Amino acid sequence: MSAPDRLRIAWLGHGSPQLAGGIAVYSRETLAGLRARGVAVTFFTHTGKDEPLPESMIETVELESTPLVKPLVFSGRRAKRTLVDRLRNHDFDLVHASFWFSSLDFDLPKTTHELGIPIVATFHVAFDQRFSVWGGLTGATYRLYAPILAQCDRVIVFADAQRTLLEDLGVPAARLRVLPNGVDVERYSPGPTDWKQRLGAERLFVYMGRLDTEKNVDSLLRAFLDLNPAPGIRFAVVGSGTERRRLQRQYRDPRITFTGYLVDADERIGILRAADAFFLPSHVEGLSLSMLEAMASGTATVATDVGGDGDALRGAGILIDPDELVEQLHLALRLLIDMPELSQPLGRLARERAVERFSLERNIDGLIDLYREVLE
Amino acid sequence: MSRRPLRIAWLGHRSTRGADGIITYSRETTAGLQRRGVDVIFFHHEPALADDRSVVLDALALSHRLVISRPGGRGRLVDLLRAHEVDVVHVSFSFSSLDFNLPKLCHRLGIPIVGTFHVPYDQRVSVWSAISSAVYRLYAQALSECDGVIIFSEAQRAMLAHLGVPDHVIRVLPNGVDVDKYSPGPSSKREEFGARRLFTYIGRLDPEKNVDDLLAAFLGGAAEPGLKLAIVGGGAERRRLERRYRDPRVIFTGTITDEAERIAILRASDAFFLPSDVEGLSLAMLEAMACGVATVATDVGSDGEALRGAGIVIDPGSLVPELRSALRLLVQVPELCSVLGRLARERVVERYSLNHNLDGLVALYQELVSLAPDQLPGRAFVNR
Repeated sequence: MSAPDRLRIAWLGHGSPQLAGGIAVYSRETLAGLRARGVAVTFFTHTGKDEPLPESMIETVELESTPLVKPLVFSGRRAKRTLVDRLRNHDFDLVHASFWFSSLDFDLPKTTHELGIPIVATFHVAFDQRFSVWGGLTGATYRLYAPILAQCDRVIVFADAQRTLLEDLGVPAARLRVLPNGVDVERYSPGPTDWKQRLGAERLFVYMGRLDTEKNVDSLLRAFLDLNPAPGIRFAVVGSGTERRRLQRQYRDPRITFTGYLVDADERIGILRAADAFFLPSHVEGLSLSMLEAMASGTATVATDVGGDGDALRGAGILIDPDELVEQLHLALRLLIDMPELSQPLGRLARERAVERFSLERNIDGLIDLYREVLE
Repeated sequence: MSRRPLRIAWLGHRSTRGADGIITYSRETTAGLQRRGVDVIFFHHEPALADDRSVVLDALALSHRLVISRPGGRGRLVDLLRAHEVDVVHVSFSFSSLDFNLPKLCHRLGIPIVGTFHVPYDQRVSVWSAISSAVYRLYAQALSECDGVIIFSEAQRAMLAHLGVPDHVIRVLPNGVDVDKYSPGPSSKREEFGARRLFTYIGRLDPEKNVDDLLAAFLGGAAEPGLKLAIVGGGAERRRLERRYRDPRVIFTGTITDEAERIAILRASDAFFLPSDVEGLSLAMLEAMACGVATVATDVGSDGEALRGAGIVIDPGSLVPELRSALRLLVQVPELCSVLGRLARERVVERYSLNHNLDGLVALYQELVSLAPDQLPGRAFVNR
């Protein structure tokens, strides 16, 4: 490809899925997709001490930082200087930041504009429009970020409801673009797996994601055990987080397996392929990438109607009203335990939905179009 | 030696108004027995439905579930049973105020007696469970004196055993549906109702049926253009419900006595809902299932046992949220209706067909007829 045509992007995002969950996966997947299309991407990320970056992440600039609360990060003055120097000395067409990134977020649009570089932001932050503690917290975050987003050239959100929320907070409608997360639907697809044998499961239910309080994994496991499922019906809890040790202590049962965080994507895909159902009972979500991955893998999906998840799953899976979480979770679990016949049609619907609306290809196409639009 | 056909005195209910499960049970079972060559004489309380194979007993019918037999009614019944030379008496409880004397009366005549015990029950602690367990207690003695007791489910068996009804007289013979008549098929009811998709309730409109909650959940969350809810049936609640839920998406048809009409509605239905607080084994539910309609019902009486694994079973303890959830699921994912409808049909054909039921019934009659009167199992309890 000739040099003038080749887009050069500075990407600011999280590198460690263990630290930042889906938000880091988004960066990894999108970067890989952009590079596959010949876009030159330099990845600016935080120094991660607990996990080395994969080799595929060439052209990576690590910025010195102090993690505050996951995934909030404080970046010092030195990190900012590194960033500005790099942006100035390299000929970037565009900066793309995946918020929230760090304490640098707040003057990032100003910084790039001073350098004459347009900035696109992806705003991943989970939201909850109901009146609740989470609604209060997410509302505050949105209010905090709205003025920064208003200075960006384009803001990528993942759901219509989120667009409305930001418009109400003063982000110009013309700069907002709904571009849902994408899944590699070739890789995340139904297929052979030995995970059922590995877990000794005749039927397998799965939760995959961070184990933090807002995920309600507690309610999920309690409902599962309440129904006293047959010994061959197993629940795999994949992921780690602040709640892991407590959950593991509280739900010590031969039918429940805590795998911890699985670094290897093939392992995660294997579990999803083996799963008869995937559960995501969160109180808040953006658009859950792990849900989309489960759907793409052809797994019957049960999720709360929060954030962008409701729009994504409606008509292709079992949606749960978060205000009646416990009761409705019971019902969904009962249905899937009592009627194994439901898993297959629900899995097929989920896969179709993911392929149709949430493929990585579609997402990357949209992203490149958006870059060109900004540059014109 | 050619013996004359088995002759059964069937004591049950007929009605000109409407059809609820207990009436349908008598009608379908007697018709099925007759098809098999059993000679059935139907004893009932409805003068308007007298015919040459039935005997109308004079009584004061407060409702078909509450019948006071007239003085002299007992003597007349004895004469009739003698005159007709019946082989077996089969009574569908609760029949009348004679219920408690019937077994003794039959044993005196040397005629075996079989009782079907329809009374709904609820095992949870509630007003309904208190009422239904009182009724069970009331009937325990009479049932113990019968030579065969027909019930719907294992759960009901445990309850009767607990009250002292001897286990060896109990037969679990669930209601049967004519699965040829009640089957999936074409119907013009959707066009007639102006519905693209149709949800249905069929049954009495009485408070314990919780139709109120169904309507509230439907109108509250299932707002999809073209989706309608048909409420088929009459009852104490009808006028109130009709006033309260006046909405173009809801159709109150009133009681439909024409069976073909009810089958047409079921065939047009995407889902059937039965959110009752108490049930025995709902025949309306089994009919819907036989028609291949996705079925949602509360886990009460024997309905849970019949539907589990073949439909959406709702915990009556969290009725409203689970009902909302089930409605939402079937509205949003129409594909599930066909999967659930297929499972429901399979279940009824396998376990709840009329033929299955009649086989068990005829076998029981034959077994009792072969016994000498002093060997009849219920007799021991009369003499006690």
